[in-house]
Amino acid sequence: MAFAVHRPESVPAVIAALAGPGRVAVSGGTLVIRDINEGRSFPNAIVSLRRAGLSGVVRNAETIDIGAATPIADLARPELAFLDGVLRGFASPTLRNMASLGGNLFAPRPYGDSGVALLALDASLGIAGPHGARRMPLLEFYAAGIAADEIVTGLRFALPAPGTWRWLKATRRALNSASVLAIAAVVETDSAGTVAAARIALGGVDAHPVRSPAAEAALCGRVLDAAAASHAGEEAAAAHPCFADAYASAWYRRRVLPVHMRRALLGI
Amino acid sequence: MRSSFVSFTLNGEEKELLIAPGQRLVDVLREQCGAMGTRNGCGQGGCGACTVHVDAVPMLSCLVLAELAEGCDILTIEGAARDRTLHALQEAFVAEAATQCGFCTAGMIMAAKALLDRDPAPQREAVVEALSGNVCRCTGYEPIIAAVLAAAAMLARLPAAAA
Repeated sequence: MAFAVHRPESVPAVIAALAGPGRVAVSGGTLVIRDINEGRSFPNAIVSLRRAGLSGVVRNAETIDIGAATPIADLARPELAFLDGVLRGFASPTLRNMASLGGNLFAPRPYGDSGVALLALDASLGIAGPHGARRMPLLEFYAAGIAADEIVTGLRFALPAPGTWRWLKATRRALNSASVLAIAAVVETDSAGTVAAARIALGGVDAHPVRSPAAEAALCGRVLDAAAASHAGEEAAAAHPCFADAYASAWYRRRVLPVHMRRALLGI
Repeated sequence: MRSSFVSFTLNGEEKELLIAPGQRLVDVLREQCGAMGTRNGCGQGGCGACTVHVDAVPMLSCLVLAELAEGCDILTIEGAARDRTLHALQEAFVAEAATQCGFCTAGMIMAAKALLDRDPAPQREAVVEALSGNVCRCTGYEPIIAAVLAAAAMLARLPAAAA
């Protein structure tokens, strides 16, 4: 099947190239080209983001900016060491050389776990389109999406305070497996061990990565122990629909969520 | 839509090819360059049989558009051997019986070569992780893991220039 391939070298050139029917922005190609290979997508033109200056990681005073087309493998760097588990749980090393962080936001369930991590980090997105640039909370992106003529240009989040980051991806195999559940959290405790604030995000429980207000409310104000963590998992299991796929049934996901929540939050 | 000329280096040799729009790198390598060692497997990025190095980074050539390889340095299994001498990984795959039907072998070796280029003395766990995107339906993987470790040991005994 023939389609044109555009290689614009700036964001305005990308936006211009996306004007018209059947144009698709592509960075790593691991989702879009796969769908073309499978006969599920028939674009008129591919607009590659690889040369548009959208790759790279910039550390600011209090935040990190990551270009949307940055390959997952390029996130293995000291300032992002806390994301090591997220990266190693992401498909295979070869795929990590190709797939981009921005592209992963568009991965259908049960994929797209980096979005779970980014939700817990309260990330925001840079969006560019024919009407200019804007910023959008990641939460809003999952709720409303972006227009077909817009692209995600970058992601921004504040580094979590030392000791506050939690990550767990429950899989059927140790390596290169989609998740049964993904849990990311930033949990702040006071000197008595009481949870002062928590952002908890989940994958495997809904159509896309979600924050779990139920789990957060259950945890805040309690001493962070096994009982509190399991309780937060039970509240989450009751609040989110979960889903069935080739990896696990909805029942199984709900059943094991409290266990994995405890493991994610406490490591036990 | 018109075809366009695309230039890249394939196994050290300059290529300039007339490429139809939307062609995949795996198809161009096999059908236009005669580099038939690279296999077209699942087309999903799931099997690793089409693994080649693009600018020294292993990638899945079924997901790479040939037009985006412009200016890139591409290494396939045909470029792993030098002067008709097999690469240590190829030698070890033969010696350890790590290839049966052979469909996955080129991708396995290219993924393993990327590991050894980066980490010449890997632990077993690193080999397993490096090959976690490459599927073999024959061997049960153990001979492949053994071959990569044997190749690392072989390379350690060679002078650096021969690696």
